[in-house]
Amino acid sequence: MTDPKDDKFTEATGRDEIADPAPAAPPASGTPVATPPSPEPAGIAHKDAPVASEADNGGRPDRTGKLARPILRVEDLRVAFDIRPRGAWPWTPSKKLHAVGGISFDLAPGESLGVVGESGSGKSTLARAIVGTIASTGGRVMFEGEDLAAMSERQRRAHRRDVQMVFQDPLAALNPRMTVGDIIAEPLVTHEPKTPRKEVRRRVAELMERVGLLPNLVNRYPHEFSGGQCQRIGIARALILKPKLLICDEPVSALDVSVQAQVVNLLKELQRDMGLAMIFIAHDLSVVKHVSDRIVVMYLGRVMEVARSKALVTNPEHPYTQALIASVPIPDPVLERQRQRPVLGGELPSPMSPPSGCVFRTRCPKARPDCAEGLPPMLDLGNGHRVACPYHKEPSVLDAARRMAG
Amino acid sequence: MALLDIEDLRVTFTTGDGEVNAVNGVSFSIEEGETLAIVGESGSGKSQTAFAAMGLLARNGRATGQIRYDGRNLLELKQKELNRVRSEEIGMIFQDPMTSLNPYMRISEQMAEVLTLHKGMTKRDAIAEATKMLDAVKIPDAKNRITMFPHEFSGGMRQRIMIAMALLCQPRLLIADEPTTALDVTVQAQIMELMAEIRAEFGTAIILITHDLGIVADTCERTLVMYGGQVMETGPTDQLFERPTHPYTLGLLRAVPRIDRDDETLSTIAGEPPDMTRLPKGCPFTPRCAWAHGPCPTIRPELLPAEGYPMLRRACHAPVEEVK
Repeated sequence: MTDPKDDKFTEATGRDEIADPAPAAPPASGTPVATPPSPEPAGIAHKDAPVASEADNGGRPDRTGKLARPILRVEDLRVAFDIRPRGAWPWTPSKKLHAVGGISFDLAPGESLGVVGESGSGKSTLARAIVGTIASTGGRVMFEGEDLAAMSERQRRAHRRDVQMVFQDPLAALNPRMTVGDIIAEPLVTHEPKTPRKEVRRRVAELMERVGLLPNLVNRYPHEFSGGQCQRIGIARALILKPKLLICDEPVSALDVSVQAQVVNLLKELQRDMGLAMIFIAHDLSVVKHVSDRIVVMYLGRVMEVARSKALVTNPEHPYTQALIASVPIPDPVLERQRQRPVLGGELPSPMSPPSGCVFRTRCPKARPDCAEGLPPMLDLGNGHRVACPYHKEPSVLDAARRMAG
Repeated sequence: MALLDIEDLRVTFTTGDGEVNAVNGVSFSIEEGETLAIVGESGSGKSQTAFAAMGLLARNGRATGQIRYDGRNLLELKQKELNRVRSEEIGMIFQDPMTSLNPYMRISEQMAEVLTLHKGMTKRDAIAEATKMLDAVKIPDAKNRITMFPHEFSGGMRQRIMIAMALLCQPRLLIADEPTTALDVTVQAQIMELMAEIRAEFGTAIILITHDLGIVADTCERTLVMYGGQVMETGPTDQLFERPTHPYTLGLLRAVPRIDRDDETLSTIAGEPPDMTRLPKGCPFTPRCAWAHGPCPTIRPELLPAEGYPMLRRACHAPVEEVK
């Protein structure tokens, strides 16, 4: 039986051969380079500088050297929640919590993009806005050139099958009253109700094997599995419709180290073999670095820095990224003793009343008075490396710490 | 004499699914002013070891063996005696600071209670002392914030309050059970720095229970690796990390993704954590071990000095030189 989805799937895997030759813009024109550190009206800076477009090597070039059309384009995305203070009168206007404040990036087919940030940075809200489970309050999410907000019901259904999610708590994400087989088959049965039972069973078994579960466990219930196995079930369910984009929201945070490594390797392998585009959200920079081609660093709903994984870790430019990297412990006592301790004082400000100007300035060791005025522009440092700090060239956070210490 | 000396500790829970053997014959000791890390994954028995020592096991739990503190076996103490030891001699910090603070009580009340009860202080003196301690753990504006409720603080601040509360009676031993697991990395770094300062200032011995090998490397002199309720390997942190002689320690260290390294694929430990109701008679790591052979599933290896590495003790049948 030929399944129309199967064809689509081959298309996704074989993207190199059939990459759309038309829109690959010539490198120079595609990237609006942000203006140097002049205070700009809030909200404009990020909009003008998409975090990465085809032209800045953010996507992967195909064989002809041209860059594939982005599968996902996020433009100045904003998500705000209405918060009503306790005991408010009905006519009191609600307060806005800006969880995501103007984020832009492109994702090429088959690319894996990491999103790191601490709690409250808006990374999970970003994921939900891309999936469409939370409505955005500004900006656009374009999936394969279609605006998510303008989609018809039918298009949205197609979008849902192309974009799948893997969640943090593997056990909570699975219905405790359904068997593993039913859980994995559910998306398929929902979106392609005409699929014959036998075919469904075949695909479930195939997928279970693919994610490292014994197919004879198909009639068990989630509670009979360990955390790592539950996450494998979650991954299998996300993949049964052969999506084009997989969004993983802290997929390994709840797992033990030894099992975490298994799941990370599995995700990486699946992503490569199936040609999936992936957004990998986590707070653990060492895991994200391991999985992603490119990394976006978020803080309080805004992008601080974007770069290729290696460049970001070895050569971080934003003071927040530098502090974040310095805070990640390394399991090597000798190395640890040689490292500079991080100097990031204080805690995340309340997202209800974020600092004016650069949101990081209240904890930034390099902060200056003018950081409070206007959003910092996204500076393009070349090679897809972008940083939202006009003072990134100043001595690093660690140098500042050394000076303070001695 | 060691400050705390645990010998052949066993903890079993009676559940509907049968006996769960959470801790199976664990022995170790900690000296005055020392830092010891107990590392293990979920279900390794690392937390239950600490809970047993503090008499905090769940109602269906039973501990046997010896937990000697200052020459007395804590497992045999009367409730009243134990309460005194728990507050004045041994402090404990838990993973989730929100659930260990009373949400209905102001911080001042909660902290003063410790001092009025155990030190017989007046309430005013107790609050003054508590404020001083909050200052010591670097809570800004402690004087005014002490009257706030737990929910008015952030996670990092709550954990600071927990630490301050545990230190109120200046205990000689502080047991920290995953103190930074619920916190962000930048806040984690702050808390770990605070713990190091406290140790330097008060000379408190610290047992740090964690799954994170990274924070162990930075903070603890000695490390104890647990799996399946047993000690797999123990020794000075430097030596243990440099040359792990137990297959589990080795696998664990290799499985951690490291920010300073570029590995294409992470090495993994095959299989799943053990089912604590059905542990193998021998070494609990046998089903996942690449070095498993003849005696492993049936004979439990003893914790003995590693050949050629006298500082390390390991429980493994495989020869040291083969495990690498």
